[in-house]
Amino acid sequence: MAQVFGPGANSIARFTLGGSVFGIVLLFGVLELYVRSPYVTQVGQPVEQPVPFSHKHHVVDDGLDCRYCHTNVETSAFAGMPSTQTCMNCHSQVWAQSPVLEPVRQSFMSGQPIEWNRVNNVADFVYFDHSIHVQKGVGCSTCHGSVDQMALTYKAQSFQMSFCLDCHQNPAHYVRPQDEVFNMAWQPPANQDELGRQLVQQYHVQTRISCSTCHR
Amino acid sequence: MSDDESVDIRSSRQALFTDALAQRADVVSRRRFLELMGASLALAGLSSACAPPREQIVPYVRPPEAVVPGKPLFFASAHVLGGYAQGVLVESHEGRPTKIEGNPQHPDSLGGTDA
Repeated sequence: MAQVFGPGANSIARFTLGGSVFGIVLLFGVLELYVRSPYVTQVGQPVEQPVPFSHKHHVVDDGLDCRYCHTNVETSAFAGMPSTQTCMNCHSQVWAQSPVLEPVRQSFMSGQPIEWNRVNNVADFVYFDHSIHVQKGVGCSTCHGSVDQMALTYKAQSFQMSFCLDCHQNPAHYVRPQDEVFNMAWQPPANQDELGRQLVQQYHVQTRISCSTCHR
Repeated sequence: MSDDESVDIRSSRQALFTDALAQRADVVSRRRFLELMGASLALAGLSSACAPPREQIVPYVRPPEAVVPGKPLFFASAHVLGGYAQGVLVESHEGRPTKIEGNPQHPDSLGGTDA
């Protein structure tokens, strides 16, 4: 009777063992990359809205401050979304007949609110408060990106836990002077880490990395 | 009932169901069903990925005065217990009352809650 296993059998066995270990590692690696990819996090993908609102037009062309519409960002956990009334403050005069703004007029007349699709979201098991971040010198653009350049609004950061922890572990690398918080064009200066350490002391910024800081 | 009788009944029932099954042309076998379910579950996991569902933000049309979304509002009110008014403080979130406690400025309860 002939040999069942030929001379190459040992090599094949080694290759299979090594290959399966490599394959498992590769599989996990690919999955880890996948959950961080824009395909899952939806970073950079504009979200469809009932009215094609352009932050770029309102901030750069018209010069509106963030807080004209997001009124509660300094006092509340929720930054606030403009009421239909806020839109109509200007749009009862400007573009008052524009067909694009029909849903806004409809809402104002009927009393039915506009349902905007949420762009930035943290999971429900995460406690987040806008006001404390703004007061401690975390700028809008640190988390929301260059919203002033967004014709259609999209998410600039994944808001996965590692993103929050980057700053919570080393706030000095990210904080800015309080009068620059709403400056969308602010770039960290060359001596950011030195300046940051001063600001951290001055604003009493605490390094908070306990689980229950956010998962309370 | 003898064994023979019970076998008879069972086979006659089986005949009843196999007839009914045979009349259906599109019958799916148990194995095929499990295959299809397994495949569709696997594909559902792939295509829907881990992306969370879309959420809406529904702002006010005309914002009511004093309401700041995300901040509670407190109303001093009263409720009747045993024929007497008890001073209470009602916490409300975006118009929904969530918690009633004694009013700390009311001498009767000094902020405590009973009953």
